[in-house]
Amino acid sequence: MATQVKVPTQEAVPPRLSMRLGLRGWVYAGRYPAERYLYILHRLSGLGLILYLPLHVWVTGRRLQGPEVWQQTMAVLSRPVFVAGEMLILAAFVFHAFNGFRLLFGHLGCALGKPAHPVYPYPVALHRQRSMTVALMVLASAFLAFGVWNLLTK
Amino acid sequence: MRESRLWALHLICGAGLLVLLSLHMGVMHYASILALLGWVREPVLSFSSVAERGRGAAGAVTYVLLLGFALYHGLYGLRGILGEIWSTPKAVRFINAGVVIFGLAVLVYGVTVAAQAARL
Repeated sequence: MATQVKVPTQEAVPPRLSMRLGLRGWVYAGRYPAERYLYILHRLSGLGLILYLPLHVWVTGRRLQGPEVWQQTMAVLSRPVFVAGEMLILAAFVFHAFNGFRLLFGHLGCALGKPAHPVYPYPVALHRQRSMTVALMVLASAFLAFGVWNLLTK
Repeated sequence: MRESRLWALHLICGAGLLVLLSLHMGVMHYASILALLGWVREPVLSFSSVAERGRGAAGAVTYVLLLGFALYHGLYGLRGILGEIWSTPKAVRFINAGVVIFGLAVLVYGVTVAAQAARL
């Protein structure tokens, strides 16, 4: 006696799941490698820098109104809250620049290794680039530490 | 313009920023090293130092190039992020128009400032 194949009815099919995780998906959507977190930080630092840029252009434009106005502006910007903001901007720039250098290198096909047959364990370009990534992040930390020191001692 | 060309321009502006913005940030935030080498005069934020850096055609052109690279690179990135969150055709048109208008407004203001600062 032949077994009957059960065909799922329209009602039995689960509703299609949305692939969009939105902003939550930026932070976590599975087992992310370290580079994925660098990608999130790259976006956040980039957003911070582009939001700061018009403000920076406006502030630097104040010099057209003469030395007195410029000195007043600098006096306001020397308050601790603005110094803290400047440190954040410096951190965003240093990270974005060093990570951007890594991304640019990757886009140009550098430090990714030669293409190879997909034999287990599979060669992963990110793993080949990992030592460069670590070196760049160490350099970024050193530049940031020196920049913060320069800012605090000026 | 095709998306691939916009993307390539984003990369080119990023490379330009690596050079120009690194110089700018070097002068502003690593002045103690550059002063040791005799490349900058401290204090870098005094009115005379700021006016001197922006004076002349070379200073103005450098600042305008820096602003142009930064605006294009940054607003292209912002457009991509906003387009991921609001991806309907109407929203994409609105975002595109918004970043172009905002970018042009800041660029025009920045060019005006740089041109006037060149004559300080």
